[in-house]
Amino acid sequence: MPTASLFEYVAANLDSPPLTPEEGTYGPFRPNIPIKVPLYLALSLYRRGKCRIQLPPWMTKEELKGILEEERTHPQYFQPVPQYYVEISKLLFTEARAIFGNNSELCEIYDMIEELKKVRNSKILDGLRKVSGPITVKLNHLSHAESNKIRLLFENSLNMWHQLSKNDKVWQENRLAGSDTSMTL
Amino acid sequence: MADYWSLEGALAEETVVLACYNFGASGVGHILAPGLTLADVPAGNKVDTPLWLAVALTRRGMTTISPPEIYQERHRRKLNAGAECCNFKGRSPYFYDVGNKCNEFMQDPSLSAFLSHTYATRYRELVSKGLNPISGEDTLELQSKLSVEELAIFEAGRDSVARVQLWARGARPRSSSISAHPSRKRTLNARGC
Repeated sequence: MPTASLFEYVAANLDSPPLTPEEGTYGPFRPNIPIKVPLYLALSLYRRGKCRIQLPPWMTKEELKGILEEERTHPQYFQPVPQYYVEISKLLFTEARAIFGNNSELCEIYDMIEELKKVRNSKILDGLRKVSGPITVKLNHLSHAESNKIRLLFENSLNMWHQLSKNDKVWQENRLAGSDTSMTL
Repeated sequence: MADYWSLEGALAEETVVLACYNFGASGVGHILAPGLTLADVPAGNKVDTPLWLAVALTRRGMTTISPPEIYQERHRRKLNAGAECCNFKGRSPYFYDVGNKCNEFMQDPSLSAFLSHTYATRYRELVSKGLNPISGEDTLELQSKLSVEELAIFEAGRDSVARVQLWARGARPRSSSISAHPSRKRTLNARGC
């Protein structure tokens, strides 16, 4: 999972010069100054008690409520959501529960994200059921986890459609070109 | 779907079709049709032949293929009425591959339209049950009716959903059954044997 691109805000408790993990330099870290780091680094510092993680801006109750409302009111297309919202939310719920404040807040946000996943999932299924030929399908704003779920099935079934539709074209083209396939060796 | 290198394509060609031998065939009577008393196949006779052989002979103009019963008019009407209920696994596990192959020679647009229509009807069930990770009675029932090509699509969908769920639960995916076993190479002992 490319967590390097998932930046979180971290309020550091440590005083340290810039850190240089594999793929970049982050820092310098000063106490109580928020700084943007990749998710894996934020979680690893959090485990050592060296920082507080701030919630991503889209993960507040109000934002999530707004996105959910929009999803429900527009069944034809998907709302823009962070590409890795499933992964980020799962990691934060399992490893950093304390950042959500009290338990009820945590439950509310968890429920809203689950609801969002269900609404989007049913939209995806409805859309997939309507496919009836080897067409190009446009699926905007699909998150990473959702596209992983449908990738294999959708790709294979589109291949199947393609095979079935091109079945006629081969011998029809040959006929038009004047040669008869049944006579070729 | 069938291409030259696909295993399913090769297995699909084992399907038996009725081929009319325009010029007969000498010496292969007993092999093609064990019940035949003659050693040679007389000209104009229809014999059950595996698809791979029938296709090769038809390309040389030596036989004429007639497609299996499931593509004939009677079954077409039945499938057009309700394709979801038909059991392809038992009757014609390589329904689409064999149909496509036969159509190369029959050159019948209505056959390929029929194949597409059948797939379109069955596809809706595939999507509904294929992306649902819960395995219920109706899922098992559907699985027992699918042709080999449809089953591959169905399993691919269920597998990807199951993996996403596994990750969400925090479990590790099971490693493949073909794992490296400790090497049992014989080592040379002191005597060199």
